[in-house]
Amino acid sequence: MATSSTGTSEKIIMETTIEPVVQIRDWSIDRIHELTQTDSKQNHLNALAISEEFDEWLNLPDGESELTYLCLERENGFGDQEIDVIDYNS
Amino acid sequence: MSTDIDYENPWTYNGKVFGSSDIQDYFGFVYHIHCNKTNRDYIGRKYFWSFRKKGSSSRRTKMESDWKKYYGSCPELKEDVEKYGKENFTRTILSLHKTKGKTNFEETRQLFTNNVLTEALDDGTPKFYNGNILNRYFRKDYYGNND
Repeated sequence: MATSSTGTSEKIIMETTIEPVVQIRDWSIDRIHELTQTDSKQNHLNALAISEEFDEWLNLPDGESELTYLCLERENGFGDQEIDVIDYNS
Repeated sequence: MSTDIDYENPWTYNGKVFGSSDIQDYFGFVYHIHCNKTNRDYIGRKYFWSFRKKGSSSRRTKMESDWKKYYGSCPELKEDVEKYGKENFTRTILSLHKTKGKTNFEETRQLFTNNVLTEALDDGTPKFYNGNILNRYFRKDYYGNND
């Protein structure tokens, strides 16, 4: 389903970027499915919110069966461990 | 409702034919196509607008899409349109939407709520031409499967 345009470190990208994209896409569709099976208006609105949030990943252009995206990463990386760390001293 | 119908076998919305002047500020619609010969159905979405790039300019031109002559993207349905003729298909607009996101969501919602991958006709033929939902759920995995 997913392909990426990358140069080096393809393996790392595959593990850290592509798989989460597929997982998030599958989770979104499954969740929309669950929510739309109910009669609750709130659930349908929640499903709409998920659908709109991930719209570009869910709705591929007509005639396409692959999700293509460009992943940009800085040379020195920006690891998972650093995402929530704010260094106020620097 | 429109009086400017300039195309064959027009779409209907709420029982009335739908033309260009009815588009107003809508972005797209969710539709239902019924084959009067096979009694099978198809649910899909279509945008009223297409955006084309002109020459080397980065600007895109907005123009009406091919929605008037559209009969879905499904190969099996297209085959039947060729086989039986357009006049044997009824095209109905189920809902109109002002954004791409809402059009897309409503299509997905309709596909799920109508059980398009599992419903069958009396003779066992799949009721819907739709073969998958968002390339995540496929008819071959669910059709005739009671699990």
